[in-house]
Parts: sequence; structure tokens; C-alpha cells
Amino acid sequence: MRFRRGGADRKPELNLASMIDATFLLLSYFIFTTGAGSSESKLTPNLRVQQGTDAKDDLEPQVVEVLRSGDHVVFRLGATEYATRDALSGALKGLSHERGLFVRVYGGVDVGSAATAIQVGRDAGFEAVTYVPAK
Amino acid sequence: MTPMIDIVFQLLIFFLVTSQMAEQTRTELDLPREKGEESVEQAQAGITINVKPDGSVVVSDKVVSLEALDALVDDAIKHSGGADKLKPIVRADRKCDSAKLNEVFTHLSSRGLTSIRLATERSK
Repeated sequence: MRFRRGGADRKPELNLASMIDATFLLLSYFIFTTGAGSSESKLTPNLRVQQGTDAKDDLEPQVVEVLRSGDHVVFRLGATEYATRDALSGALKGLSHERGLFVRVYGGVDVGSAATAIQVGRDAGFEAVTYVPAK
Repeated sequence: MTPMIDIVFQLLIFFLVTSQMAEQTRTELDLPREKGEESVEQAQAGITINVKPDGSVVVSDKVVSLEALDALVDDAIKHSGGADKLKPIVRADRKCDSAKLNEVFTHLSSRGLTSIRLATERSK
């Protein structure tokens, strides 16, 4: 701030321009930093899964089991085990999609592999993918 | 001058607090690297449940037990107007054992929730 000394009749003046500059700078800084942090509930993308038990229905869904076999995680569809997502994807594409897909995940498997099975099911065209925690 | 300075400081405090809150709402996790879905609606989740690599469950920056999670989910269901309207997001670390995720899902299912979203992140 700069004060001008003058005669006895002069009142001191205050230059507001620099203060307003600083204020707007701070305002714009906080506006931008606030906008950058998005709430975790609005995160994208995500995989929508139904939740339930594998109770028997008139139309039985396809069931993919995600389990550990030795050092590897395998995807079991019926009696066949698939070691890679591409192999599972190929197998699921050839199935009927109307009855939905159950993904049964066993303990000892990492969450990433469970998400892979759900994603492959979605990509294969299954509208209803149900996550079934294995007991 | 005094009112102007008052307003400036009020604005400063407001933006300081809101920017800090926005940072605190997200727990650092290594999410499954999947592309997710294109058509998922971006509605408010109501509740976001984080599962860390060690299996601890975190809601709103606080580690909670599965019993405490039940109470939080019940509250969220009450606020959203029914279990069918609540679509919680589960953010689980991709290296976490699915056994813990199974426990969380079982608890959510026991509260009547039928639709759950599993958070993912696109590969960099």
C-alpha cells in the first residue's frame, strides 16, 4: 500500500488495485483446485453386477467359476478350464446370452481376476451378470 | 473496506475447506484395470465402500468393521428411499483377496441390495 503525504488538508488514499488482483488470483486458484477433485462416488468407469445367490431357476444361467489352480487363476466354464481372458471370451461368445451369467468367485483369487471375468461376460453380450460369492 | 475484507476472508475459508474435502473423499487404491461399461448411469452411489489390499474396509476415510458397514448401509438405504434405489460402488484393490470382497458382497446382499457397482480404472 502506498500513502501519499501531502498538506494537512489531504486525506490518505489507499490503492485497491493490487489487493483486488491478489483476491481474484486466489479465487481462481481455489476454484480450479476444487473442481479437480471429484467425489469417489462419481468415479468412472465401473462394472454393474447383480447380487444374489445361485438359486435354481427354470432357465439356468451360464456359470463361470473363478478359482485358483496351483499358482494360477483359472476360469472354469462347465468342465473346461480357461487360463486366459481371450480363451474365456471366445467360449462365452458362443453361448446363449438370454439366461444371464453367474460369476462365482472363490477365496484366494485376486479381485482383478474377478473383475476380468465380469468384464469378459459384459463384453460377450451378457446383460445380467451376477456376482456370486463362493462359500 | 471492512466489509470487503470480511467477504474476501469468508470466500478464502470456503474454498480452502471445500478443496480439502474433495481430496479427502477418495481413498488411494489400485483398482482392477478394466474398461468398465459405457452405459452405466452416473447417479449418486449413496455409499462408496473401499476395500484395501490388506482387506480393511474403509467408508468415508474411516476403517469400519463389517457390522458397522451394515449400519452405514441401512442408513444409506433409508436416505435413498429403499434398497432397490441404492446402487453402491465397491472400490476394491485389484490385489486384494476376493474372500474379503465376498464378505462385503454377502453383507450388502443381506441388507437387500441387488445391484452393486464394482469400480475399475482404464489402463494407462
